[in-house]
Amino acid sequence: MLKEISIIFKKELKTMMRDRRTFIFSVIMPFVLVPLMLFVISYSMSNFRHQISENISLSFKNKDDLFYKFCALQENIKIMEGGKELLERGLVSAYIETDEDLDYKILHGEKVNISIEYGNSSINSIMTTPFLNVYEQSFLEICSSFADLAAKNKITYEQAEKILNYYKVPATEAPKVSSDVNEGLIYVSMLAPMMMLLYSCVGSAGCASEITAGEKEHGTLEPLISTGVSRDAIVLGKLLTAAAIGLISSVSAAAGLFGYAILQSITIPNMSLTAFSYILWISIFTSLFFATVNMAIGVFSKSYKEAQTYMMPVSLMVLFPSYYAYFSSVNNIPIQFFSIPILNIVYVIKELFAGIVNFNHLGIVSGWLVIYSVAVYLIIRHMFKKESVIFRI
Amino acid sequence: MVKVENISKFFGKVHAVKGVSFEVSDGEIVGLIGENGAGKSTLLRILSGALCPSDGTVHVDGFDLLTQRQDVRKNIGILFGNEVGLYERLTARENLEYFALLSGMNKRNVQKRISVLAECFEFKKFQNKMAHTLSKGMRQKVAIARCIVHDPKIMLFDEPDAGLDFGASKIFFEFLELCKEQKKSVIFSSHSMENVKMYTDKIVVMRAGNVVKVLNSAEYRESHSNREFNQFLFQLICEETVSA
Repeated sequence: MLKEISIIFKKELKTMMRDRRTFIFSVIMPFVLVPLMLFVISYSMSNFRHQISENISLSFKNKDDLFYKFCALQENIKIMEGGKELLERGLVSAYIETDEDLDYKILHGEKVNISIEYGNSSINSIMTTPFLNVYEQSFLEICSSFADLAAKNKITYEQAEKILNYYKVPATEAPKVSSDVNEGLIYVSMLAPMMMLLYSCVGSAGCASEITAGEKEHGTLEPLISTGVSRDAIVLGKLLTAAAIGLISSVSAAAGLFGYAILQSITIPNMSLTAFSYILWISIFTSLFFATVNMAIGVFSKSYKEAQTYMMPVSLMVLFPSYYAYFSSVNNIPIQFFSIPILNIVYVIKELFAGIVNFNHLGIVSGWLVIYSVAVYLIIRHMFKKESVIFRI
Repeated sequence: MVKVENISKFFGKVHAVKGVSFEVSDGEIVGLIGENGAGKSTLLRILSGALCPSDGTVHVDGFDLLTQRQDVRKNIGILFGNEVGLYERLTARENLEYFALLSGMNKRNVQKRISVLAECFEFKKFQNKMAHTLSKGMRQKVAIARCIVHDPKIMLFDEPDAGLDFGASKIFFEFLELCKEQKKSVIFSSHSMENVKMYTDKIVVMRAGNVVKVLNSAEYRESHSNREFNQFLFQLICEETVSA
């Protein structure tokens, strides 16, 4: 049986690699697309932030109060006339409402209210939020610095205006969540598990649909099952091919990510050769798992197109656990999470990226992936022996 | 060599083959004729082991199809109808190699056998071309060679003459004569009444899943004129249609 599996595996791999579509989508695309996507995201974010820090357009309800004057003095703030309507039309980043008696309250040391309204649908507006928070905080801090004097009516409007005029928030002090290098690291750390998962799934999907449903469609399955080869050997040979293509895709995506990190001089702090080898270890089981799932869909489908239709939601489902896991800390993951399909893979890859090599977790995840793969394989085996499934055309 | 006894096949509620029985001896060439949907392809698929019969038994070279399926399959070569079933991204030679290796032949014998078949079916010139670049006739030649690459004792062909030009068709039927000399059994279905009349020893006429007649071709060729023979077969095939 091993000989037969090997013959089928070699033939399937050869035909897959000869197919330009498979080769481009499974090998070239992950390697090129992932770093390209990171470059674009990183460049556009940096460019966008720079633009916003230089030019923030605002509209005010109350003109000529101290906050209005404070903002008007800032180099990167442009005030437009037109009120709230400008925000609704997307012409300004924020609309500001202050107390009607803002100046009186400031001069008497009372608490003031500044309400900043952002456009919900504008990314420009959302990105302005941290910048305006800095201006608001600065203004309130200055006001509180002379609150004691103001409470005793020992400060005049002119004096307050003078103090505020003196204070300019330098544009370079605009809030930066992290340095560019750290930002790159965030992108790499977030995208690495997601991309490796996605490509091991998508990579094997095209291959699995071609070598199962595709064979039904092209009329090559009947001659194959009419040979003396056992159906187990046929299924296993094909399954290994789909897993191999998924693994190649996944490794290609990882290589693209690391290539990006090298080009951008991003150091992944805790990444060691050991951690990297365990990522590869997990990728093997991940590819096997997704290959069995995709093969099951392919065997059930009567055409390549039908298989692709069913596989699309599976690929999208991979993204949800990745998002969920992204917001959790790797230090306190409940042990039962390592048994949940897909989520367990994301967590263990996250751990490895953080330099944590936990053999218990690695063992649990590998074990579960084998169990899931065997369970799905048994379903494929059952389907492959049923005429109603094999001859659905 | 092939003994078919009371074979039936259901696809859901559709009764595709209804209690078919016939025998094929060593070196005998049998032609299956009937209209589309008569059950010819289903019967050939059952004989090849690709489909399981719902009822009845088939013995191929002494092996029971139901209980010794793998042994039966190794003794059978089948060409399925409609699609020639070649792997598009393999060359003609690689297609043959793949099936030969899966049939358990060793590599050295595989090369020799393919060379013999390439000579016999005249595809030596294009044996290293990708299957998707071949014409329909070329593909059909390669597909026929593929199904007999492991030198089976029994050969089943579902419409082997479809898509073949006159020359290629002649080559195929000459090959059948050679098989006969080598005491190999052949069952083929065809819509060409002339080919069936000319190259078979026995004709199995099927209609609506039943075998309506098994006749000795040689006897009919001698006792009937070509026209009479044609009319007789036509009546057998389309009796219900004609009477309707």
